[in-house]
Amino acid sequence: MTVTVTPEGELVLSLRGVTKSFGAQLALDSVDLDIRSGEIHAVVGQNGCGKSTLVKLLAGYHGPDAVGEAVVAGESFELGSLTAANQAGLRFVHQDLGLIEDLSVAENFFMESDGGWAKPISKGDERSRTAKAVKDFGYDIDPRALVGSLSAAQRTAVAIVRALRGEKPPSLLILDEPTASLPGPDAQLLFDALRRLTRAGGSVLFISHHLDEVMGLADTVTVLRDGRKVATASTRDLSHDRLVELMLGRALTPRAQSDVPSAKVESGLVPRLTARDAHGGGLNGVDLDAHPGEVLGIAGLTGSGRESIAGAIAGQTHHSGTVAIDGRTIRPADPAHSLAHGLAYAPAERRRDALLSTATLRENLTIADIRSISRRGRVSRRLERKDAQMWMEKLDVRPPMQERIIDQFSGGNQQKVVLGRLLRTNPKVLVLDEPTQGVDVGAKATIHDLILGAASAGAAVIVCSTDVEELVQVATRVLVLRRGRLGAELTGHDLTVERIEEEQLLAAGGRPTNETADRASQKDVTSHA
Amino acid sequence: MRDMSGVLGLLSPKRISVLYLLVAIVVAFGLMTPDLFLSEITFQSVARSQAVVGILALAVLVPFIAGEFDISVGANLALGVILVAWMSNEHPGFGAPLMCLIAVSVCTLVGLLNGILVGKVGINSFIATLATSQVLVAIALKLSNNEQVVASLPQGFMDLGQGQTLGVPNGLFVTLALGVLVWYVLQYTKVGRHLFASGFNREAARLSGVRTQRVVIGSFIVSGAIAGLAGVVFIAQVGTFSTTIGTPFLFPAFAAVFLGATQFNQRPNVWGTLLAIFTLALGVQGLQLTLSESGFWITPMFNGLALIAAVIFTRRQAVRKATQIEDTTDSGASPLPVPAVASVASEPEREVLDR
Repeated sequence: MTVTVTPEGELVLSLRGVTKSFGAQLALDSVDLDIRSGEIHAVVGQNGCGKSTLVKLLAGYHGPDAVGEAVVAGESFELGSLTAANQAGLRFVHQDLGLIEDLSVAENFFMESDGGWAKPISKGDERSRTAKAVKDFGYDIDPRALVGSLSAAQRTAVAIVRALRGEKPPSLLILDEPTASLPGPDAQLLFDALRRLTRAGGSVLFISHHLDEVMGLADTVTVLRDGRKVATASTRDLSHDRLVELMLGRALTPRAQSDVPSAKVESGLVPRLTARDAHGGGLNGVDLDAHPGEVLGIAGLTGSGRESIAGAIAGQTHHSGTVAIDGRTIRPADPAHSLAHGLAYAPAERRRDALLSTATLRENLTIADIRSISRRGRVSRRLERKDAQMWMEKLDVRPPMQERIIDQFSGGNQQKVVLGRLLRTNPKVLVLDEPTQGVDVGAKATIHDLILGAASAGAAVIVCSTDVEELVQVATRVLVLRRGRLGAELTGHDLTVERIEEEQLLAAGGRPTNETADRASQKDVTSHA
Repeated sequence: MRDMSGVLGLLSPKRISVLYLLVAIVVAFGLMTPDLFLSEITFQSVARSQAVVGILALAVLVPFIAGEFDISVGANLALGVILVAWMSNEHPGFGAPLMCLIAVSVCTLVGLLNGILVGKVGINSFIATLATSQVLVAIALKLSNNEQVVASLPQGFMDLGQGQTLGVPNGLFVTLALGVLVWYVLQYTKVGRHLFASGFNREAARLSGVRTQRVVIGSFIVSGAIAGLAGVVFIAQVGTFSTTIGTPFLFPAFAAVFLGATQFNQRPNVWGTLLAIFTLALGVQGLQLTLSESGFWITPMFNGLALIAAVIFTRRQAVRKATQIEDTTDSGASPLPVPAVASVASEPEREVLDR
């Protein structure tokens, strides 16, 4: 690899003093960026560091507030213009890939027709050109296959190859978190293809928060923190730990070698909920126990399995593994059964999965337990209204109007109602996925109070959240997931925002001490490849 | 909403527009052709002919509430009719009650089949019931040999079907009794709540402990049973199977459910549906009486236009509501599209109507 990366290689992209703010918030503060030809350049940083803003500026989605200088392949470049980005040969693959699943690979390739609407399309020609382009990239995919039938890795490859095609060769390929959902070996295949691309003279800007991927793939890393550029360095001169320190802006907490993560068996206590060997949806064999009266937090980056573990435990999605409440195994993928056994679940996608949007607040509140407001099989409106009134007070819903359509309430009030719906069933286990996403500060405090209240009433509460501060506030114990596995368990003094952030960013399996060696051997392998 | 506006809200035209339309129709045609339109015969014939349509509309209503279409109800009704007619000729020893029971049971099984295709196999309900309706038509054609079949039913049974009590055709009592039953289940039972929840948001209902698959299959079974009952009432009234029955009832039944869903609590409901049926029928009747030429084409024309008008009316209501909500969101000049801002701000607060 060192062969292709000459330190003084020609600059493909050069930015000076790029500034962008949204309202009072400064998203990018006078950022410089240099990308050389033939290199894979990673931009990393925590959520909100400005890396996605940078991509959007390059793509012409936003205009910058100020820019010192922007040069692409030696020519001045208008940052923030879609046409300029096109003409300069910047090609993008965004996280959602932008493919149409119901169309074939070839049809996705030739979505914008070259010859106008009236020009007849030759399917055979399209297919052979598609097949060749895909093969050149190192993949063997049938151009007639529907994109929806491909694996995640194949789709990513298709999106990249599609981005690369065009009349002019691309000057820079920009990958915006393309591997958020790829399992290890698939990601490796993709990286090999990208390395071949750069060896042939192409350049790649790679946005990611998976640091082991960054360390394994990129030649150069630029670290952003709070909208500022912190450092640009060669990955050869960096360790994983050092990179984490740069991202966080502080030294790592020294760790005892002995704190091996284990979420099982706490001294003699019988767990209320036990989940064993959870696989699927990015989970790669997670075991966890939750005890009555505790709030168990689950943290992890996107792609770590954090986003799917709640649904897996609660039976929203099919997965392998077992879940038991008080020792009794719950039927998998059967939410009604889970609820009947005391497991109540609030999904992350409130609008999609939790709200009866066009029904009233009252109906949203009572749907999970109609029996308690019925007398001899007849729903009593009087009991229901009384019950709803009581819960609106308990949940502090504003305005307290039970006949109002739930859609007309704020997100915070909607979430309180969803929580109230679950609490009405007196759950033994409460599983909450992103319980305060898109919720105002006041509602957030109320929701935290309700969570703590449920725990002190004897429920085992599991809170999965991207909001690390929230986990520290409400949880008594936090599990950090990495690459679908349990990475760390934090309690007591260790349960801090800093520690959770560090643990999320650490390499998937290895202990920090082995990290440098791991990386060196990985580099070795790739240079031979 | 009802909390605020109270009784006035209940009387507002948008909640009971069909009732206003009914009054307008009666007044208008009453003035134009008082001796023809305001006669007992008019109301008798409308009540008699629409009793079956009303029952069929209830068969449409139940799966519709759960979020599914059952467009096989017309053909299922025809199947019920031919079954009774065929049995009355081939197996007269069964007796009318048993024949009716068998017919309703077979139609219920058809509903079960629809339910399995939609709920278990996962076929889109429109497609699945469109397909089964064709199979049912084929069975009816085979049994009838593509001819009109006159049922040989006991005179007592026919008297019951064609007779009236207190000036009201007997068939209408069946419609009303069934209406009360369906209304009660929808309004006052867990099953009703689960039906509505499954229709509002299937996944949210499932995660709230509703066995949505059972609810969907159950709604089709009920739909089949009610369609069979409609067939029984039809043969009791008419006494004849003809190859063209069934399908002509389908549109009025669906139109009434759609129209009814814009009434009262503005979701699918029993009384809105039945009100819509009799309003549409009276409108058609009035037009036919007013026009001197024969108005055989009026029924589909009036039904179609009324449905379009009603849907446009409710859509305008919805749009007006949506713009009102938008007005209250942040009016701060933001040239950027909302998602772009949201992706940068750490915790987007783009909630509607925060108070």
